[in-house]
Amino acid sequence: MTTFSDGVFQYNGAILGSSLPIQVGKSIFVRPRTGSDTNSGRNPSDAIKTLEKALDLATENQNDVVYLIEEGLDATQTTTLDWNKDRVHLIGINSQAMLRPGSRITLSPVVHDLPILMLVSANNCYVANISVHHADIVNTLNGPIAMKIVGGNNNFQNCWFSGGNDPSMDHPGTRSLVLSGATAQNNYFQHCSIGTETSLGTTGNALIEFLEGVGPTIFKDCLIFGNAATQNLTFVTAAEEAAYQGPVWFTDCAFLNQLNIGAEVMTEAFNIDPVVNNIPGGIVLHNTLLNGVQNWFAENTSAIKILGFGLSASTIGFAIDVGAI
Amino acid sequence: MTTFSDCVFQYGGLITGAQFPVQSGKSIFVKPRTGSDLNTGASLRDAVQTLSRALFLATPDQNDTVYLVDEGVPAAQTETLVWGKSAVHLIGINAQSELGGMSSITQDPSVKDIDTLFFLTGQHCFISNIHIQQGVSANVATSPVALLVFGHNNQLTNCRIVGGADSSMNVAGVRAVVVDGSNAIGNSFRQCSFNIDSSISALNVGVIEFINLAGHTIFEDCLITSTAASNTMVLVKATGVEAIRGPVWFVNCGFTNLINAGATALTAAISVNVSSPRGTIILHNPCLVGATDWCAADTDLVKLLGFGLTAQNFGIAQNLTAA
Repeated sequence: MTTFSDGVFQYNGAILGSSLPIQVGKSIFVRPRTGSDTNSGRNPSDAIKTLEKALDLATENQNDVVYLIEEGLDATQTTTLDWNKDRVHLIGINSQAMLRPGSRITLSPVVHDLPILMLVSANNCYVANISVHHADIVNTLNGPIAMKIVGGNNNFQNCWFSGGNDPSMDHPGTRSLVLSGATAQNNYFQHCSIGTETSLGTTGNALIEFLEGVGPTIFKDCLIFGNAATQNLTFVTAAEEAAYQGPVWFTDCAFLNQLNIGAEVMTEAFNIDPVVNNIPGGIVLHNTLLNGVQNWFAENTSAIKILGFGLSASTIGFAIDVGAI
Repeated sequence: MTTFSDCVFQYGGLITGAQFPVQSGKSIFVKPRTGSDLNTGASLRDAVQTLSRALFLATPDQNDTVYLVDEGVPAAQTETLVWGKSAVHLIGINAQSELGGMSSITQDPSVKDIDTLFFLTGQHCFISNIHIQQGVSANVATSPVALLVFGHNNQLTNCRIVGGADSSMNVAGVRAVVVDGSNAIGNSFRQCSFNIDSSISALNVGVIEFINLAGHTIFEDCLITSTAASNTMVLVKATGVEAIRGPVWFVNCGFTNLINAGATALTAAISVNVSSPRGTIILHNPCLVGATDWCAADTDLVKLLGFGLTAQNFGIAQNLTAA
């Protein structure tokens, strides 16, 4: 029997069991603590240090995979990480815990006021086991965003998108996740956590935002969590005109305002202007759960369809009819 | 350090982590953009270009696997692709997003008369991460069907099946999927989406249809969508004589007529032949948007367990018949 002493690299880059059926492109390994950008990145013992360098080494449309190895130090960014090459995948190597998987992308502590921590402008990318965690201790920006997506056909599995993780980020425009534009269509989020751990409550603050005509999107088995300092925080906002076309499906998702740690009861889960975004069937909640909020929506609207359970401060249990149609 | 120049193929075809416990048959790689049918297909660097060539190279009942690599160009078909070798599997290598981003099989735009794009006559096949999309301008086919399932015990996982993806396919026979015959039994669809992609006004169109005593079938965590321009369109159709032997289970599925995109509300989501009852359709915790009701009239043939959200009734479990 032939054995190998150097782990996965006996395959010259073909990784087995990497969440892709098989890997057909090249592998690029990133180690934020022990890597060096003068290395080749082609095996774990020759890993590079930064995601920017890894992306530079990747070839679009070849199904290359960047592996971000957790080794106790974050992949810190001094500028927005723009994931802009189609079919270049990003997979974290860690314990894969749903709540903040260990391969983390964060803001460098020497940098402040970064508007967007990570931008996905590429299409057809697979991203798994990654935390994008935006915390800035001296933020002065109105709208810092942890993750913004303008590309389409991307698949996010077991990721953590968290924004506003400092009291200085409690501004109306702070977001954990923003989907923007008609090109942001057919994106798929499964088993992801989206929210903030910091007490936020400025009017207008939301965890997820849709902007400029977002197309079909699925959230499945996701946890959307907040820690409201006031009743004004919302989970999802689509307040601007023609913010989304949809449909946006939330299937088997939980929306949780953390009353258990002292959060205030929120007024509504969704902030959607029924005049400028009255899109019947645009948002579908299939077997969802809501906790720590007075209602899904402050007033009935056909823009949201709910099927399943609604557990809120005032209603417990069974399905709620939010709209007549 | 030992390395291999041909990646996974050092095993002569043994792939692990490919959604099988292990792969026991040989691998055949397809690259529609950079492959060549003069190649062997036996490694990524020697990939063939077409699925028909890959299928020719595969041996039935050996658990061979065809890998269709997404490299930005679909596997375009000039005629019906007949997947007729049993236990030959097809797996797409791509981002695996349920609504798109998968390895695509399309109709070549130069061919206008293909009735069935993908004809699954094999059995015990595993198909995953594949996007079958039938749409061609100036279509002349009268019954364009993206996927016709005739074999049995096949499993399709994370696939997207789209029919009628051009306005010229606005004909009564357009379908995304047809499950045909008593031999089509034990098929399973998991986390798949089915769609008729353009605005269809032809009468009595169905996204999914069962015909000729189709056997028991499971749809789990699937999404069935339409953009109806006629209220006679249905999402599931079983109106033929003895269309279903069944049962057909839809578990945790979403049925959505895209009224958000201007679709006409459907009169009914499901249409069955009540005068020719044989099988049953069971809806377990489904979701319905953009239709007046699940069925136009109460029937024993459709059982709903869980929640039914329609224009007329919201929420709590309902049984379409008292029984």
